Amino acid sequence: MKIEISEIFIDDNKLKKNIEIELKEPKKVVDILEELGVKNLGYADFYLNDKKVKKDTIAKNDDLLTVLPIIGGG
Amino acid sequence: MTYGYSGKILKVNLSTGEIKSENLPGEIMRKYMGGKGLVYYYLKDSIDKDTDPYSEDNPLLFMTGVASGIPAAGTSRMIIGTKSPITGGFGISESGGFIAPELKKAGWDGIVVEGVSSKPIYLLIRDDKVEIKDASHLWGKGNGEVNDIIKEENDDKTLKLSQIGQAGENKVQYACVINDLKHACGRNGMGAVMGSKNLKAVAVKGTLGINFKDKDKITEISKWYAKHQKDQPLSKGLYMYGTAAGLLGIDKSGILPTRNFKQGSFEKAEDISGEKLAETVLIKREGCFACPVRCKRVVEIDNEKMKVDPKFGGPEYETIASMGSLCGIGDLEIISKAHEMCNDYGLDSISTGVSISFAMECYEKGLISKNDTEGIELNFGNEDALLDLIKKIAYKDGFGSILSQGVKKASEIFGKDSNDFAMHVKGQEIPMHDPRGKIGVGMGYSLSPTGADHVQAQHDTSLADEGPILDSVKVLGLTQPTDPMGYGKEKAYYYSTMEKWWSFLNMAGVCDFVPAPRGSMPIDKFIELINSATGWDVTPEECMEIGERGITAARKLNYELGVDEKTEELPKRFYQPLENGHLKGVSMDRDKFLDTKQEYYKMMGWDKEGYPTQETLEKLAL
Repeated sequence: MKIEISEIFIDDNKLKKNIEIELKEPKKVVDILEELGVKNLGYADFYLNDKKVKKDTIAKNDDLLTVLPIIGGG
Repeated sequence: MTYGYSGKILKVNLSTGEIKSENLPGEIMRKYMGGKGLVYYYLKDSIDKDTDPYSEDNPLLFMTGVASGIPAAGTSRMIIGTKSPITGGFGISESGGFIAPELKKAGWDGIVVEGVSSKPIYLLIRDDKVEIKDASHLWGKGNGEVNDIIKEENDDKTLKLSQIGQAGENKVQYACVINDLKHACGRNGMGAVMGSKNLKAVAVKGTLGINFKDKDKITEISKWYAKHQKDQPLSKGLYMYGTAAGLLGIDKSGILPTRNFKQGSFEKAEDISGEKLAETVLIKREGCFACPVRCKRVVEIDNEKMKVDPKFGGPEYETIASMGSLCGIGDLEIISKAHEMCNDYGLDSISTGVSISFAMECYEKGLISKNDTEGIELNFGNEDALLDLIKKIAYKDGFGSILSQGVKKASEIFGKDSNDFAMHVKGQEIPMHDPRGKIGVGMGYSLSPTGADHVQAQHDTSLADEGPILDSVKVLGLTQPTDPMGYGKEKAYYYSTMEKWWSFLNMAGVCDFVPAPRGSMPIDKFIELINSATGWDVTPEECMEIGERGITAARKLNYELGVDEKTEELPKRFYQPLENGHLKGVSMDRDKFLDTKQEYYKMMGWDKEGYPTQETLEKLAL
């Protein structure tokens, strides 16, 4: 699956902004990202194929997952 | 001795030329903290229902807060207040920058400007030396040029300035006050009232400093925060991409105001995102007084097609969306130019963009034609039309004169069904957040004493789940997540809790982007900062009561001015379905929304008509 991560969530953990992984079986969004080492997910919103989803939504290998900062306003 | 504030208010009467210092009692400072609290305190006995906002009877107030000027993050806010020419009620507008700390360093907690000058003038404040200076040579000039001249003729490049441009001189209804060319007290027509007083600028230099009770503690907290915020996502996002850090998420969530709020997603969202701005026109990131977050943008364009001067800073999210997606424009160079023009002329970029977008829809619907627009083909996406109209609005030139009155009055002129999509509450244009995806923002638009406003309460989208943001506000009593699209008691409770906290921040002179939940400084640490500065023993409970006092005081004054619950109606468009995006087909439920407001009234101790009960007024010492 393809994953796009806002640079806000990328520090020194060698993650890249755009990555592609092989997902052997469907998995929760939050589990996928935690396994990749993405931190601070409590401040993120998640989008699967451009649609906003909850962190425990199940993603499949052909999905596009986007991680963006949470909408706070102001 | 007072700590954290001086206890002195500068009073200047422009009709008589009298300049005097007035004591601000300590118990009043503790009760109101500053900001809109002091605006209420000085406004309540000065105006009534019949006061013309442009008359000498309407004072213009420049207020700091008790936290303004503490050498720590988020302490930069200047709050300007008056009877608003837009709403006819309690009016305030706030900005960051440097002028509020400078004013406090000059020994003043605020300025009350009364009367009307018979000729253009500016105020020059150097500590306790206050002069009324001739500004005849500055009248008709833009903010950029005037800023240079005032600094040069006073031989001081470090002066901090609040100014009006041509829009304020011409009393464009939504003219704003610009601080140091980059920080706008944008809303509620403050610039128009300043223009009506023939007051071109307020220039300040402070050398006296501010007394603080525990300087070491302030330094300790300040240093801790500077380190802590660096890799914290809320602060990091603001640093990297400014307030437009959320634009792509807002678009994907289907709530990016597009084509006058008909749509919630813009096909060129990526082209106007904070990320794209950082890759293209951004040359520098800046911060306000003592703030390490540095959320401010500085852009520069210098090519054959376009020049944009970096001295005006750069567009923030509200400007990007109001000049961009709302008008169907996806070019950051055009948006940056529009931003520069608004800051130079002194126009509120939200109201300007909404007014032009409204006219674009009227044109496409055939309610107005080229005959009305003086030949301008006013379709969505017309970049030249956007820039032409900004200038015409500032000078009230031709068709621009109609739009300079805002969408409420323009819709009365254009007629037919245009009122259904004239996007305003109380006459103030709607900011760049669609309440069809966040009902709490709709509550703010409806209930704000100043008309449609997006900074009344932390937006509900960030409190939808358990997590660190919700954890950060449990100390204030909000312990459960709120469904952004939910209604009822739960929504009313979330809203009233977050509203009280943000109301307190306004009163204390604090930026929403530093303390939790929008910012990354824990609430207890932030309160410790205020106590270190003042020597007080303020608690979260007292902060919430002070915030509630500010909300209720503004409410009380508004009802006395005739601005009551009948003025709280949202535009019809929000009860109609969005045309595209993630929330395509979604609309607000009016009955549920009104019921939620009734729940809120009850929680606030107000009656069914939204007026505070006697018991509530007594509880809050109002």
